[in-house]
Amino acid sequence: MKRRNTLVVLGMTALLLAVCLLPAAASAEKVLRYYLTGDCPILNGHDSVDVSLDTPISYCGAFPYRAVPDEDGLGYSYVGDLAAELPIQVDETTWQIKLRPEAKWQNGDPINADTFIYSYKMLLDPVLSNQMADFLSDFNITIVNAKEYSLQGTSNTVAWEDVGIKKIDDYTLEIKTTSPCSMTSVCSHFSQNNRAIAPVYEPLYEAGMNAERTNTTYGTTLDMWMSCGPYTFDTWTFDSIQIYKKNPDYWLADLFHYDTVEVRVIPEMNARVELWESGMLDYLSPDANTIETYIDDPRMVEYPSLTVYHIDVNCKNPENPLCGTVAWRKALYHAMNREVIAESLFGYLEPSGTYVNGQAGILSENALLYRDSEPGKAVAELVDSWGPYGYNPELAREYLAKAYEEAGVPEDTVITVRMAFDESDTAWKATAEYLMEELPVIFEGKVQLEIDTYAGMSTTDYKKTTDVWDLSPNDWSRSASRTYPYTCFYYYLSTYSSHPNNFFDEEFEAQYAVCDSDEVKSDYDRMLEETAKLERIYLDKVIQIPVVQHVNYDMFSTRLKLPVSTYIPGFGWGIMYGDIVE
Amino acid sequence: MFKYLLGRIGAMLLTLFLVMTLSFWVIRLMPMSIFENPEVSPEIQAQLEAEMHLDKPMIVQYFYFIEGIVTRGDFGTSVKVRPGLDVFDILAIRIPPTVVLNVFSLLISLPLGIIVGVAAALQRNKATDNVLSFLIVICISVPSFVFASLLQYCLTYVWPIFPTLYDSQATTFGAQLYSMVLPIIALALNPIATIGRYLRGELIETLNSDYMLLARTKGLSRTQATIFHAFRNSLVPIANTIIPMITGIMGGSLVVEKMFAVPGMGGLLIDSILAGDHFLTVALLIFYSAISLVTILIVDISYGLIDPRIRVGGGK
Repeated sequence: MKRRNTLVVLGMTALLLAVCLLPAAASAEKVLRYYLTGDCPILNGHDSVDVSLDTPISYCGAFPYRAVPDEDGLGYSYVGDLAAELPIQVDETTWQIKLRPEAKWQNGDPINADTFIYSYKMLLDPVLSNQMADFLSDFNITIVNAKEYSLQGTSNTVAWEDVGIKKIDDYTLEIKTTSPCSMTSVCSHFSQNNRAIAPVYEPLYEAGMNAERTNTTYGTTLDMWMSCGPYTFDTWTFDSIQIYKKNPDYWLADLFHYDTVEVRVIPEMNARVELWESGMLDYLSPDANTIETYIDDPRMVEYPSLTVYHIDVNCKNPENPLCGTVAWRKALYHAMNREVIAESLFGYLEPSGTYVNGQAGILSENALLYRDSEPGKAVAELVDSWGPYGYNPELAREYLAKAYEEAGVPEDTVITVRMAFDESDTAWKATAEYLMEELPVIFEGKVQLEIDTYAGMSTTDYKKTTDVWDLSPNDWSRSASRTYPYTCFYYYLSTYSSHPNNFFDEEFEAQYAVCDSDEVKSDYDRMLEETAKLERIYLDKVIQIPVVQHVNYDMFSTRLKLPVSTYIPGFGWGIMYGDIVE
Repeated sequence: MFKYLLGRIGAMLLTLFLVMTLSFWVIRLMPMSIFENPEVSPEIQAQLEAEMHLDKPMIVQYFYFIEGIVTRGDFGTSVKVRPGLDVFDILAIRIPPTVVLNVFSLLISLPLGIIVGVAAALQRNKATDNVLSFLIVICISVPSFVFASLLQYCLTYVWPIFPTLYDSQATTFGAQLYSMVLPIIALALNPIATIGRYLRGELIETLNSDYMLLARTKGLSRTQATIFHAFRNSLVPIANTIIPMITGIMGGSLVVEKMFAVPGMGGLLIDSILAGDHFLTVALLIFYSAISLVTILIVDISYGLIDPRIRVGGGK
C-alpha cells in the first residue's frame, strides 16, 4: 500500500513537472515581447513629461504624420497618418494639413479638424498649465502666438483666434509659424517624435475635467483614455504589463505586423536578463553591469544617445579662491582622462571632449549628424589637437599656474576641490575616486579632491542647499537637439531658472541667440556653422566639462526582423514596424 | 475595557495627527521641487506650483493640507507617480497583490514556524535542534532578496519550473498564485525562522516549569502537555512578533516585489520620495502609521485573549 502511494505521488510529481517544463504550443499569433523599466505614469500626452509614454502612444495613438522606414532599410521618411498627405506649403510660414476622412477613434467616433482644434486648444490652455504645452508651441517649429497664449495665465491678453492654428474646413488645418521652416520640420513636429501632439478624445477629456477647469483625469487609467492608432490599448496593469492588440480598422494597418505587443514592466536587470536568456524577450538593453557579458555577442548593436555626461564647475564656491577664473576651469578640463573614465569607469562608453551629442543635427544635408558635418568635425579636431579628447596634463598645469596668477593666490596654496554627486551613481562614484587619486598627481599635489555625496534628491535640488561644491556630475539631454543641435546648451543660459553652475557669459548667450534666431533656424547649413561657433565659445570658456558620450547598447532576438539595417538617428530601430519570423 | 479602548483610540488619533503634521513638515522641507523639469518651461512650473499653493509660505500650505483632510477627507492627488489619481485610489490598486502575496507567505510561515519551533524545543540540543537552529540563523541573517534571487535563478532559469515574473494577466487565481510561489517562499523564510526561534526559546523555558511536571504526572503525554499547556503559554511573548506580521501584510516588500515585478505596495513609498511626489509620500506615511497604531492596539488587546490572567484597563 505504502509503495503504491509512493508511486502515485512520484507519478503526479513527474506529470506536474512535465506540464511545467513543456514548451507552450507554438502559436501562429505574432507577439512582440518588449519591456519597460518603469511604467508610464499617465497616458495624457498633454501632461506627461515622462518618456515612457512614447511606447504606448506610438503604438496606440495616432499623429498627423508618422515616420516610417524606407524600403532599403537605410533611412526613413514621413507619411500621412491622421493626415491624408504631406503638409502643403501655402506661403513661407503657412502650412496646411489635410486630414484623412476615414480616421476614427477606437470606438468609431470620427477624428477631424475639430478634434485637433480642441486637442491643441486644451494643450495650450493657459489655466490648465499642461507641462507639455511647449512641445506644441515651440519644438521643431514655432507656432505664432502659441507660447504667448499658453503662458498668459488669466490675463486674457492673447485670444485663441490669434494663435497660428486654424480650422479651414472639417478636414483641413492651417499652421502658421513664426519663421520659414522645412517640410521635414513640420512633419517631425507633428509626428510620433512629439508625444504631446497626439489628439485627445474630447468626451473623456471633458469628463475628467474639474470644476475650476485646472485639471483633468484624462489618461490616468485605461477607462479614461482612447486609442486611435495601429494598435488598441487592450490591458494595462500598472507596474506590471501593457498589452496592445492590432487595430484592424487602422488606415495604415499594412505597415504593422505584430498581432499583439506585450510590454512588461521589469525594473530588475537580473529578471530581464533571465527572460532574455530564456527567449521570453525580443529586446534587451544591457546596463553597465551586464554589458561585459554581451559585449562580444553578435546580436549586440550600439548607437550614441542624446546625453553627454559632463561635470558642472561651480564658479561661486566661497571656499575655493580659484573658482572664479576661466584658467581654473580650463585646468580642470584638460585634467580629465576621458578615455580611462569612459572605458574603465563607465564601461564601454565613448570619451567626449565636446558637448553636442552624437544624435544632434539629423536634418543636415545628406542626413549628416552635426558631429559628422564639417563644422562639427572641425571642433572635434580642435579638441584632439590639445590631446586625446582634450586630455593634456601639461596644459592643465599651465592653466593652473595662470589661475593662481589671475586670482592673486600664492602658488603653494593647496586647493581642495569638492566633488558632489548622488551616492547611488556607481559610475560617477568610481570617477570621483579615480579623480581623487589622479588630480593630486597631475597638479603635483596642489589640488586635492574631496567627495560629498547626497541621496534622495536631484542634483539641481542639492545645489540649492549649498554653494560649497566645485564639481558636480550632470547629464542633461534635450530632445530638440536632434533637430536643433545648439539647444543642448539651453541649460547654461542665464534665462534658465535652474542654471547649474552660476557661470554666465555674455558672448556665449549672444551666440546662442544667433543660433536661435529665425534667420539661422531657417538655414540649416548656417545653423550648423553657428552651432560650431557656440561650441567653440563653450570650450574656450569651459561652460562645463564634457566627459563621456553615453552609448546605448541594444540586443534583439533572432526571431525579430527589424525594418532597418542600422540605427537611424531620429527614427531608431523602428521596432514597431518589425516582424516576427519564427 | 470599553473606556480603555476609547482612551486608546483617542490617543491613536492624537498620535496620527502628530504623525500627519510631522510628515508634512519633514517631507515639504526636503529641498526638492515637485515640478522641476528641464523640458518644462519655468512659467508653466510656476503656474502649477501656484495651483497647488506651493508658492505660499509653508504654514499656509499646512493649513490647506489640514483643511483638505478635515473638510473633504482629501489627502491630495499624486503629481508624479500616478499624476491626477487620488492617493487613496493608488493605494486601492496597489494593496491587493501585496495582500495576496503576504497572506500566503504568512499562511506558510505560521504553521511552519510553529512546527520548527516546537520540533527544535522538543529535540533540544539534539541533531534536529542543531540543524534547525543553523537554518534559522541562515534564514534570519540572510535578507529575503538574496533568497529571492537564488530562487529566481535556480527555479526560473536553470530549471524553468516557475515563471520569472508575477503574472497579473493569469486567468485563474490558481495560475496567478503559481506565478507568486517564488516571492511567497522568499518572503516566508524569514518569518518562519523568526517564529521558530522565538517559540523554541519560550517553549524550552515553559517545558521546564513546574506545571508541566504536574501535567505529565496527571497522565498527559509529552506532546499533549506541550500542545495544551506549554504552547499556549508560550504564545503570549511571541504575539508581539506574529500580530505585526499579520497587520503588516499591507506594507509590502520593497525588493522582492520589484524583483518579481509584483505591482504592489513595495517600493511605492521610495518611488514617491525619489520622484518628489510629496502628496503621495505624506499619504503613505499616514497610512503606514495608521497600520502600526492599529497593530499595537491589537497586540495589547490580544494579550488578554491569549492569556485570561492578563486584563487590560484595570478590569477585574
